[in-house]
Amino acid sequence: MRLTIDPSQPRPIYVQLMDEVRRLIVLGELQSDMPLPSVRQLAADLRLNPNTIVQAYRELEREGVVYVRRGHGTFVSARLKLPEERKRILADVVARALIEAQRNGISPDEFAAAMIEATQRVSKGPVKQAKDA
Amino acid sequence: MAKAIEISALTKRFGHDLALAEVDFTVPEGAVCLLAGTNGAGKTTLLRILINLEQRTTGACEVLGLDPACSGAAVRAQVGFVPETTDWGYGWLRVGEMLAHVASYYPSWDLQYALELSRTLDVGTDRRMKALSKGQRRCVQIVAALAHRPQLLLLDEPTDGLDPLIRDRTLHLFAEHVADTGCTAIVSTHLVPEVAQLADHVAILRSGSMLYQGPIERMLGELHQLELDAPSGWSAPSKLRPAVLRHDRAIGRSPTLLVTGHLDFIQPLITNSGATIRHAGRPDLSDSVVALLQSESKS
Repeated sequence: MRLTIDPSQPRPIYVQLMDEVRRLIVLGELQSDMPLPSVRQLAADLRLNPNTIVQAYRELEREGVVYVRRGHGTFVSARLKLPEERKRILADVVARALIEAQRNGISPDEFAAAMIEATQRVSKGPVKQAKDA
Repeated sequence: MAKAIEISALTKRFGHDLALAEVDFTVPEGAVCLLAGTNGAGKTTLLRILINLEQRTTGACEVLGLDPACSGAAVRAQVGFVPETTDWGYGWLRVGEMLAHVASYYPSWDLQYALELSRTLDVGTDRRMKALSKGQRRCVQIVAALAHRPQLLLLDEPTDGLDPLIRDRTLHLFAEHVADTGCTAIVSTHLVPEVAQLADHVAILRSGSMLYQGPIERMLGELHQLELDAPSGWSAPSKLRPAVLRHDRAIGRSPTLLVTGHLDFIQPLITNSGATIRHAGRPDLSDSVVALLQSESKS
């Protein structure tokens, strides 16, 4: 399992951490009732301020993504609605892509059309190969 | 929240030179404060006053609840200090003897931890101090600063002279130490990106005056990096100018502004001047520090 943080990104680091934990949950790397790394371990591994990690874990707890067992650590919630988390990640990815598109002077409609075209190309690719084989 | 450091209207003169002018500076307990500033801004002097290696001229100063001018030794016993200079003297001592000498000043010296730190930082205890390179002497200083598990860390350019590997291990050790002890730390550095993610507070000194201090999140929340669509020759309207910390013209019609204040106030000013905001984002800490230092020098 790997959590990656990019300090040069404009998003606050605790928000990046929260997104990383969500991503690992959706990917199935972190499953219900599995422990998250301790604050100390994560702080040392990522060279982060421990308070940043505490803040990220606290926010995740408030959102019901994780729960805390005092003296034992922080664990992935068992009552997590994975489809909802996936939707949320998808919304984030789309929002970031749209900002990037806007910075490049591309309108949302143009972007959506190009996205559909690119998707069709990708999905056609393997099918064609399968037919040939 | 309790304050680990509380300084008010502190002034320090060296003869006719004013090193620190009426500085107010507070650091809450458990914070890691990045101390940035130009060369000669007074960062080192400020750190030295905190442990009474320099005496303040006027003003009030409290460190861990004590006045360093009256209780210098008691303050120093609770502080891990990495000084700016690596020239430590005691060249004839072996590293192990040097560390044993330092240990005798601290009842809380943790021998096991000191050995572990020495191993992590590749400090050979048999070598003589004078035979060490600048970076190796720095490593000995870092061991000496951490091994008594101080409540307050004062680090003056702590990674100066360290190779990239040891630099990375040092940052790992600092993060681990802060997590273990919940100590307060002040890190003075010119390499802002290096400690940006370790710090949660920032203080910026310029020519002996405190320009800004507070939580990093608050500072970055007050600043906006704006990418504009503007007609050629566009310049910021006069009402907006005081809020502009930096105006990068770059190429083409897309100037970038770093502004301070509320977007609700800034946005209409920009729209009325014929430009539109293409993208508003949060600036990066390093850029913000540089912009603040520059902006102040203009006025």
